[in-house]
Amino acid sequence: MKISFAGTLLRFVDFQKSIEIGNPPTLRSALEFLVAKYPDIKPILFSADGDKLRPVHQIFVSGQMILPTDLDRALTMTDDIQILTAIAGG
Amino acid sequence: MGTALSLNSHDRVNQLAKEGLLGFALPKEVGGLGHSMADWGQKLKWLGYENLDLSVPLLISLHASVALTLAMAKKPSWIERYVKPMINGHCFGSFAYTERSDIFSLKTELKRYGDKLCLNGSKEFVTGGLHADVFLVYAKDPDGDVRVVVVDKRLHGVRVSPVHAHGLFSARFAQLQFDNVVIAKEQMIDSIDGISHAQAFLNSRRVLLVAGVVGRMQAVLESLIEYGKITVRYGRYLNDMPNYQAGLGRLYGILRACDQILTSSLNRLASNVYDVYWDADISATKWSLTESAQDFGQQALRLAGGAGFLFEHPVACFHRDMAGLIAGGGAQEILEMDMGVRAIHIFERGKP
Repeated sequence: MKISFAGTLLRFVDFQKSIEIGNPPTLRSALEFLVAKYPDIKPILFSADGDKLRPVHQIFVSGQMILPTDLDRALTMTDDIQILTAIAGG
Repeated sequence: MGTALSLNSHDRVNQLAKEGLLGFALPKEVGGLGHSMADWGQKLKWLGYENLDLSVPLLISLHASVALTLAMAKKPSWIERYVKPMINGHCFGSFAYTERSDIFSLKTELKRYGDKLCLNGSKEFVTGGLHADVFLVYAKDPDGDVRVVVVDKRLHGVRVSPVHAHGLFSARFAQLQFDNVVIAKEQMIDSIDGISHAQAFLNSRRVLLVAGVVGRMQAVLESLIEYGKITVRYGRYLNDMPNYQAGLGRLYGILRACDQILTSSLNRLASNVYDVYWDADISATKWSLTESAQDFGQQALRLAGGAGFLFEHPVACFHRDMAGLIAGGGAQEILEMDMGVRAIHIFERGKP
């Protein structure tokens, strides 16, 4: 299974467009694998207590947008994860 | 052609407050009039039409957006201290976000000392900064989290300096400096992280930002029709010359298309079905109207000739004020990049 990134988040994952993450059972475990490999992205994705996904990010599992509160969603081997974060200034 | 008004004068703010404009789209519970965002956008369009300097709708809409943010925090003390005075025109709010960095690398710092916060850093470009009494300031805490804190201008250690821009002369741009500014911890908006807060704030701002542009387009077009009615070239009035008519037609086409896009986007905002943090249609509206406004300004200059290049001519004002939208409210190139990423995401899967 892969997590893919674009735009502003790439700098936090060494500009890897996608990262192989094995077959985690849930979205939460997939993101835990990601932040273990790329610790710099943890405070970007998660709140200071490390528990809540920041609402500015959009997470898609196989094209379907997931609510930030739905981290315990089960994953299958054919799923792919995409994280989109649009950041613009004032 | 519009009135050259300056918000340097508190009288003008008070006048707009008496007309109910500053609290137009704020909830009735906090003293606002409770109108929809769609109606608010139409009011801003009217303000753009009425005022030669696009700074007027820009500042008024920014002020109202800050007031709404403070109202939404649901802190009774803020309603009394900020929101109601803002509605009455006795207090002005602004948004202090821009530094020479992206949001992930802010240099402005917010540290906690007991029940106090200490703010250090600077903000390079604050719209309405010279006019404002209170700022929404974005700063990094020691954990690297971005926080939003409400800062009164009168606090010790806050310095406000003018910044001179290419256009939008009444927008009263400023640079802010914070040197060991001590702030009560209750001044922090703690319901959401600062990055998400800023993106939600800026997202809805993108439609309101360009509402005045459409009104100004109409005013410029009317000024050119008036000019063509009294100006004779080669023995004919300009309005009777086919090439001048075609030029006016191009401007009218741009105006009508922009008005339709704006109305659609305002309705989207009012319906609350948009993506709060980054909405592709809202970004496309700001991007599209800004691009169209540049084209409109160039075309208008060609029609107005030398008269349109004079400092206070509506065409000259429009031309330089529109340049501010290229970088402001989400720079065009960043919006293009964000929209491009979104397009790849949508169309790679073949289901828009």
